[in-house]
Order: sequence, then C-alpha cells, then structure tokens
Amino acid sequence: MSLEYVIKGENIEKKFKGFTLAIPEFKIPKGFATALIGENGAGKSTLMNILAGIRLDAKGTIRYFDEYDQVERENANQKERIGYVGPGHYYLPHWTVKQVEEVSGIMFEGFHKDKFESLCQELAVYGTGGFDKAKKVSSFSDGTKMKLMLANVLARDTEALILDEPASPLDPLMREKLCEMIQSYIEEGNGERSVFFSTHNVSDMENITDYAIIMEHGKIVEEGFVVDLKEKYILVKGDAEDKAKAKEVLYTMTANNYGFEGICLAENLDKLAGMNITKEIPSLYQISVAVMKANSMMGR
Amino acid sequence: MRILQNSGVPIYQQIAEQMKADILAGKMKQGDYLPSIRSLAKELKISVITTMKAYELLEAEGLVTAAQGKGFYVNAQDSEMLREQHLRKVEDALQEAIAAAKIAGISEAELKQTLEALLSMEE
Repeated sequence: MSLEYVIKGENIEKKFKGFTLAIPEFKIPKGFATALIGENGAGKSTLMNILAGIRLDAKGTIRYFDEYDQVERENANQKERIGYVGPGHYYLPHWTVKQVEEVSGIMFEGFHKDKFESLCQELAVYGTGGFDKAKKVSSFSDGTKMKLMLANVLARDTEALILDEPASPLDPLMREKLCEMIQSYIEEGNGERSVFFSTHNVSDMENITDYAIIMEHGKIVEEGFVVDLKEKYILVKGDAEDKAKAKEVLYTMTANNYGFEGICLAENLDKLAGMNITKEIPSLYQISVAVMKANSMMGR
Repeated sequence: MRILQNSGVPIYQQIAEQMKADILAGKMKQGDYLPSIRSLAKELKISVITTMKAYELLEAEGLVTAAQGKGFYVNAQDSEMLREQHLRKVEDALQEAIAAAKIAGISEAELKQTLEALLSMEE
C-alpha cells in the first residue's frame, strides 16, 4: 500500500513551563480518518493548534498535501483547503445563526449557504423549535455550539478537517451522526479527503478510525493503522496461579484473586506457553488505555 | 454481509471470507467490480483501512485484481483448482484431528462419532 500524507511535520517543538511538546516526526495519512488519543494535558490540543495555525510560535516545519509549508498556509487560498473545529467559541455570543452564515460566506469562497442550512437541519441545531436563524449563539448549549461549528465547516469545500474533541459535547445519537458525517466526507473525497480528530471517546469513534496516534507527555508514544495495532497487541486472560509469571511478560496487567487480564505484545505471546489463557482481539479503547498506562508509569 | 464485533476473527478477515464465498458461489462473476473501498466502509460503518485490508487479502489469494484508479474486479476462477485447494485444507485439518485423537487414546469409532455429532450440530 503506497501512502501519501496530508500533513507531515518535522521536529515540532513548543516549550511551556513544566511541559514540552517535542515531536521529531509526524504524519497523517491521506484519505483516512486519523484519531489523536491521549490523557488530558498530553499535548493534543497544542499539536492541533500548531497544525491548524492557531498557534504560530512553535518550532519545526510542517508540510501540507506535500505542496506547501506553514508560512504559505496563511495565504487565503490555502486557508480554504483545511477546516478546523475546536473547543474555543469563535463565534461572537451575540451573533445569530444568520450572521454566522453571512460571516462564513465572506470568509470562505467555498462556503455553501444551502448546504449549511441543510446541515443545520440534519444536525438539529434548532432543536425541536423549528428552523430559526434569528437564534443567538449565546442561547445555545455547548453541544449545539459544536453542531453549529460542524455544520459550518462541513458546508465548505475542503480537503482536510482538523477536529479538536468534536464528540465530547455531543450526545450519543449525535456522536453516531458525527461518525456518519465523517465517513460521508471521506467517501465523497474518494481518497483525496482526510480527517484528523482528537477524542477521549475512543469507543464511540473506533469504528471509523483508520489510523491512531497516541500521545503522552508531549510525545507520540504509539501510532499506526488500527488493523495493525490490533495484531500487535493481544488481550489475554488467565488464571490466578499464573499471575506472577504473566506479570513479567505482559505489557500491562490487572489481577485479582480469581485471575488476571492484560495486554500482551504479539511478539511475547509464546512466553505465555504452558499457561491456561484465552486470547482476544482488543478494542482500540483497550489498546489506548494500555499504551497510556504503560507510558504514564514510565514517565513519572 | 454480517460483521461480528467480538467473534475473535478480525473484521477484515470476516469481510474477505464472505466475499470469497460470494465469488466461489458465483454470486460475483468474473469481471464484476467489488464495491469501492470507501463506499463499503461507509455502508458497513467500519473504517476504510479495514475494507482496504480485506480487499488486499482477496488480492493476495488471487481472487480479485486491483485496477489502477478503478477499484477491484473479480478474476476468472478455476473452480477445479479451488476445489482441490479446499479439499487439501479439509484433509490437513482431519489429519490433525486424527493425530490429536491418537495422543489422547481416542478410538476410531469415537472419532467418527465426534465428527458425526459435529456435522449434525452444523445442521
């Protein structure tokens, strides 16, 4: 499989008091949905802000679509190509939906008003109260603000989306809708569109995630296609009598009086020979938790 | 197509196996295009990489061929040869069962009974 990359970074670095984001190499494959996973404070938003151009004071080079770098990114025609949604409220609170629509139309050539309106309906931005563009942004809940931002960004002609925690403020039904929308976006792009999103709701987003990047303490500690990660890490369960021996082999483990459960690296699986164990394919959530646990213990 | 999340069989393998069955049963014919990787992912609500890997598996088995920019199409199937291959698989698995039975001191009659019991359970 030959891969192209939508965003590539080299030696990205940003120092804060007591925290350093340092990423020697960074790649997001083109044509896929990539999830950024990590603890609070791991540096996910900082990285996304650097890539989106919200934070301009980081070191390193970033290339987009293998065509231009972060300086050229600031040109108006390049700004059309990548859409961003994040937790900051970048609409003024007294704006109405109508005004959000007008401002977006002025800012982006590729913004389609009709598409925005149908997306607002689809995402139920107006709730059950009917279609009302006079509604003020300040009257919206966090979830509805997120829906409005998603409708806005999806109404544009873009080739990539950077979504910082899009699922967090959404209810379960809307999370499913978000997944559908991300899949449609990628399908319509036929290999030319990519989505990069951060999330704590790994389970909700797992089915659509192609590539996962796991961060810890400002560094990338694991990354890869989910299908490959699911072969690298194996969920094993075994009997209590073997737990001491298993602990030496397993990547992460929890045990009680009745047995143990943990993640084993596929390459170490033969070291468990002779034990009565069951093997399962872990979920991305289980892999993420194991990787985060293993790395946060090492780091502290 | 049915996808089981916790069957222990990777999802890409489940897809590949079901498509393989369709091809061998003649439901998909020589020259037919498989659904596009991204549309199948969307339909099944699974990731793009999963369907991609499923198609790669089918390609590796020689069942389909990737056409640049056009997707995957079904190859001509030599049904005689495929039957032969499957028969080999069946024989290998049965040999293994016979060996295991010997180790455990299970009699021939018992072994036959077990096979019959399993077959009736399938039905």
